[in-house]
This record gives sequence, structure tokens and C-alpha cells, in this order.
Amino acid sequence: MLPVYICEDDEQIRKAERLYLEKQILIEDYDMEIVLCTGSPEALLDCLEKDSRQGVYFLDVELKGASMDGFRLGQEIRKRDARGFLIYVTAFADLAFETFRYHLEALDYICKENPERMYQGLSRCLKSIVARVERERGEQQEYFTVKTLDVVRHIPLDEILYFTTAEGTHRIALHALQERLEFIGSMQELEKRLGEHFIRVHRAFLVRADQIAQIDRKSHELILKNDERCPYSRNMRKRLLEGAAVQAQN
Amino acid sequence: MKDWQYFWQITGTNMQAEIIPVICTLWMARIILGEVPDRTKAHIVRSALACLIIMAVLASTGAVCYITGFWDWQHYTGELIWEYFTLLCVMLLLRFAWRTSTRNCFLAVLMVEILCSYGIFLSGLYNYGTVYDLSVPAQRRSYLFWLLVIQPLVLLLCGLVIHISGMGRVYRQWLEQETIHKGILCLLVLYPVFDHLVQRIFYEKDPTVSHLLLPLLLLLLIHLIFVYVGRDRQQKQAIIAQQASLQQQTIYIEKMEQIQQELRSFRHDFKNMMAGMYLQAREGDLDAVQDFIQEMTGDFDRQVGGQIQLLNQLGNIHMLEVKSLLLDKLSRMQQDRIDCELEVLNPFEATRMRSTDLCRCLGILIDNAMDEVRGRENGKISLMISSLDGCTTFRIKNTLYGAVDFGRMEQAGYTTKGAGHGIGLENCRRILAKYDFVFPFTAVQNGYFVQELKIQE
Repeated sequence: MLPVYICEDDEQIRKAERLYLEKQILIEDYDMEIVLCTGSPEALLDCLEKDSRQGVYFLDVELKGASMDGFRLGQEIRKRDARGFLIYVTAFADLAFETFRYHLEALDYICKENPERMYQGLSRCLKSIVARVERERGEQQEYFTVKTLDVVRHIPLDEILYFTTAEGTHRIALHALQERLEFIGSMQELEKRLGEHFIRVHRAFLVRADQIAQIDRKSHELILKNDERCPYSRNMRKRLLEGAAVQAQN
Repeated sequence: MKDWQYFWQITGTNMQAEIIPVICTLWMARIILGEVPDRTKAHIVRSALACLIIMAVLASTGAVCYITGFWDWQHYTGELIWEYFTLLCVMLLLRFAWRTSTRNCFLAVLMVEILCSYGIFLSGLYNYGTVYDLSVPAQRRSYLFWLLVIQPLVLLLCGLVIHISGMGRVYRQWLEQETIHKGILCLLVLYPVFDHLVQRIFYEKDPTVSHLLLPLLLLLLIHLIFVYVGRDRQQKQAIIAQQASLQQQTIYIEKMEQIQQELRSFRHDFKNMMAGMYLQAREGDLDAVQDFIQEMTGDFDRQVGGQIQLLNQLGNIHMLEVKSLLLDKLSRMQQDRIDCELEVLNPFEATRMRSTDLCRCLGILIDNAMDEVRGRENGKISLMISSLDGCTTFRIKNTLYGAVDFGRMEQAGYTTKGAGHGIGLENCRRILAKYDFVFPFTAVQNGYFVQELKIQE
């Protein structure tokens, strides 16, 4: 059961939101319940202290008379519920949504200027939340989680090609199929943390074993499945060739 | 026959004697020019070979000069020519290893020469006034101690001081300028002559004075050069800032005029619509009235809202250079009919990264996004600047139409476009490499290409 929270300073709109959401949950038989409908961010946060479930939050951006705005409230909610769904309901279409999505992983935003569009938005959000919960339940994807300054990124482990040392102290560059990023870390720690799927083929390279396509013995380089190359040290050659032989047999 | 033997003997001794100076020179050059850009094994081996060849050339020509008495030419001309010859050789070596322009290499060599001679003069203070008799073993030992221990140590110290004080960076910045002041150029190029002159004037009269004066004079000279350069730079930057702010104001005024135009036309439409609505309200057609109100708010957003929104976001950027850059790029996008959104939620005041470097990188990333989207259907670029909790993020997101080859992306010259593109990303990577507190991020996410710079403040 997903708890649903509404935080909106305008009583009229709050009521309308609540009524519509209740109706939708009933009609579509969603596994959700409205727990709280309030104009005060503190009340919402207090309520979260007692409830640690993944929740759905419909938040106003400008909360008049409250101690924090919707963005701050989102940050506070994220501290308590990292996986919850944040939806912003706003009076102006010029919401900085990219920023909200980037920092708060906000799911969507809804314009409340026009009731029809607001209702459409609410049911769209409910639908996509249900779909997402369904998807996550079946998913067995493992992620590599890394924090760079103020964001945490999750990269699917099986999309990672290799880690390598980058210029600068303790800098590691991560090369993935669709991503490239740098962070602070150490090769030893990574090697320990990632386990057997990754091989330290070189002092400066930690490669995901199943991304290796070929071994170029002339240039002492591994050719990865996306045609990237990385060097391997001489004392790794035997182990790599053995691994290749095992793969070939399979 | 005997001459040949003599020649080889001297060449050998020269080679040995060159080792420490060459190491010092290369080390100081590294401080001044920064790290060697190409750090592949092959290039390092090639550079080391080049270094050996240059050393051999210097050693053998030195031997020839010694035997033929070239150095004893009148008025130090022989020595001066020799000195320029050495500088030229070292310059060639640096040019080969660092692969920057000849001018920069030559200036770096001159700087290294000044620094080295400064170090040697300083180390000269250690045994100042003593004359060694090399045939006496004890004195020879103390001479060798000075030559092999004290002198390199003092040079090391000088290098460290320069390294820590960040003079190398200042020098590099100076080298980056397209035109270097001719006066400074002459001063630097004529340094060996100047050096000899000072030595000649003072040393022949009173050796003690020369020992104390030369380092001081040199220090002063270098100091003056940099003060001068610094002031010159500051002035130029002030002028650029003024121009930028002027340009910004012009663009602002243009935007405001646009908004005014649009408001005027909206006011006209608004009157007509009100008249229509009035009629419908009187007839009691509430649905039509509702439709009207919606249409009107939508129209307003379309016509004026976007512009006001953009100006609001730009108003949050307080860093002049970044604002100018964005204004320029935004107006270009408008010309190319590229749909663009800008988000600056919190005021962006300043950042630790050098503004020129930041602007170059941002420029490259935004150009990349524009190149991808230009002329395509439904293309969109979203720019985000976010300053939050001691950290600034620049994020550029654009619709992606093809695949991105991440493996080749960072290589020089990678591009999905034709010739003339593609040096950008490599440059950007090079600029960012010197910042420990900037974290780049590149990804393909849900059909968008995302480029990000995150700066720890």
C-alpha cells in the first residue's frame, strides 16, 4: 500500500486534488491510500517520522505562509524517503522542472491553472507510478552507486566497461556504455567492493570481465565490446588467456 | 690522432657534466610549461632519445669550441653565440617533448635559463670568495660537494618556491596571450647579453659586488616583468568586462523591446477577446467563457511568458562572463530556431574555476548541443545552472538523434559532424584536467545527451 501525501496551501485546490485522487484510486483500484492532506510542510514531515514506507507526494512549489518552499520540502522528504515519488503541482508553467528533477528526482509536474489539465496530470502521474512500481518489482538489475558532491548516481553494473585512474589525486574515471564520469575513490577499494566480475588488468585499469571481446597480444591491449581499448600488464596475460580459453570452451 | 682522442675525452666529460643541468632544465620547464600533454610510453621514449641526441650534440660542439678556442673570441662574442646555440638546442628539445609553439618554447627556455642562473648565483654565495685549487684533494672534494650537492639543492629549492608560488601558472597564462608585449620579449631574448654585460661591468672591477648584485637584479627584473604583465592583463580584462556589460545591456534592451512589442499586440487581441467574451457571458454561455479564459492565459504564456521567464532566469546569473556567454548562445539559438530552456533556480554568484576556462568549456559543450540539434525536428536544449549546498552544477541536455561513440568521444578530433568540428571535447578535457575540484559527467539518458560540469566550491 503506497501512502499518498498532499501539501498545498490553497484550500480549494487541496480539496479538489484530494477528491479527484480518492476517486481515481477507487475507480482504478490502485494500491494506495491518502494519508495526509495539509497546508503545512512540518505536519507532513512529522507524519513521515512515523512512517518509513515509500510514499507518493503531491507538493505545491510556493507554500505561502510556510517556513519552507516546495524545493526545501522536497529535500527534507528525500532525506526521509529516498525512493518516494515527488510530484509538483504548480500555478505557473515556468517551473524550473529540470532543476527539480535533477536535485530531487522529481517524477513530474502538474499545472493547476486549469482544473481539467490538473486532473489529467494527476491521473497520468498515478498511472506512471503504478507502472514504475510494477517494473521495479520484477527488476533484478544491480547498480553501482557513486556519490559525486551533491548527487548520487546509479549505474547498472552490467553496463560498466572499466574504471581507470584519471588525472588528479585519487580520481577515478568510470567508463560505461552510456555514461562517462569521474569521482574520488581508490582502485584497491573498488577492486575489493566489486568482486570477481571485475579484473584489475593493469595498475590503472579495472575492467568488467564480460565486456572483454578480444585480447590483442601484439599491442598488449584488450579490445572491449564497444571497441574501446585498454592496456593490460604482462603478468596478467596468463590469467587473461586462461579466462579466454574458458570462455571459448563454454 | 691525438686530437681525436682529446676530442672524445672532452665530449665524454661534457656529457657527464650536462646530466644535472639537463635534469634541472627539464624539471623547471615542466613547472613552467605544465605537464607533457602526450604521456604515452612511446612519446616519452622518443623524447628521452631526443634528449640524449641534444646532449651529445651539445657535448661534441662544446668540445670543438674548446679545442678551436672559439670561446676566447673577443668581447665574449664566442660565449654569447654559444649560449644562444644552447638555448636553441634546448628549445628544440622542449618543442619536441611538449609540442607547443616555437615561441612559447623559446620563452620557456629563456625563463628556465634565468631561473637556473639565478639558482647558480645563489648557490655561489655558499663558496663566495673562495678559489679552489683542484689539484689539492681536500679542495677538490669541497668543490665537488658544492657542484654536486649544494648547487642542485639550491636549484631544487628555487624550483619548489616557483612551483608553490604558482608562478608557472602565471607564466603559462601569459604565454596563452596571443600577442606578447614586444618590450618584454626583447628583454627576455636579450637576457644572455644583459647577463654578460653585468658580469663584465661588475665582475672585473669587484667580484664581490657582482655576486651579490646579480641575483638581486635578476629577481627585480623578473618581478618587474610580472608586475607589468599583471597590470597590463588587468587593464585588458577591465576593458573586456566593460564591453561585455555593454553588450549585455544592449541585448537586455532588445529583449525588453521585444516583450513590449508582444505585450502591445497581446493588448490588442485581449480587447477583441474581451468584447467577444462579454457577448457570450451575456448570453449565458458559460462553457464558451471558460474556453475563452483558457485560451487567453495560454496566449499570454506563449507570447510574453517565455521571454519574461528567460529574463528572470538570466537575472539570477551574477557572474558577468557566464551571463555574456549565455546571452550570446541564446541569441544564436534564436537565430537558428533552436528551442531552448534555461533554468537558474538560485542566484549563481561565482565559482572557483577560472572564468575564462569555465566559459571555454561551457561554450564547447553548448556548441556541441547546438550542432546536434540544429536543423532537426523537435530538437530541444535545456540548460541548467544550479548553485546549491556549496556546489555548482552546469548541465546541458539536448535531444539526441544518433548514437554517441563514447569510446572515441574524448579523442582529438572526434565528431559526428564534418571537418572543422570535434576539437572541442579534447580541448575541454585538457582544460578540466588541471582542476581537482571539477567533476565532468557525460551520459545518454532517455534519448537525450547530457553533459555536466560539477564544481565543488
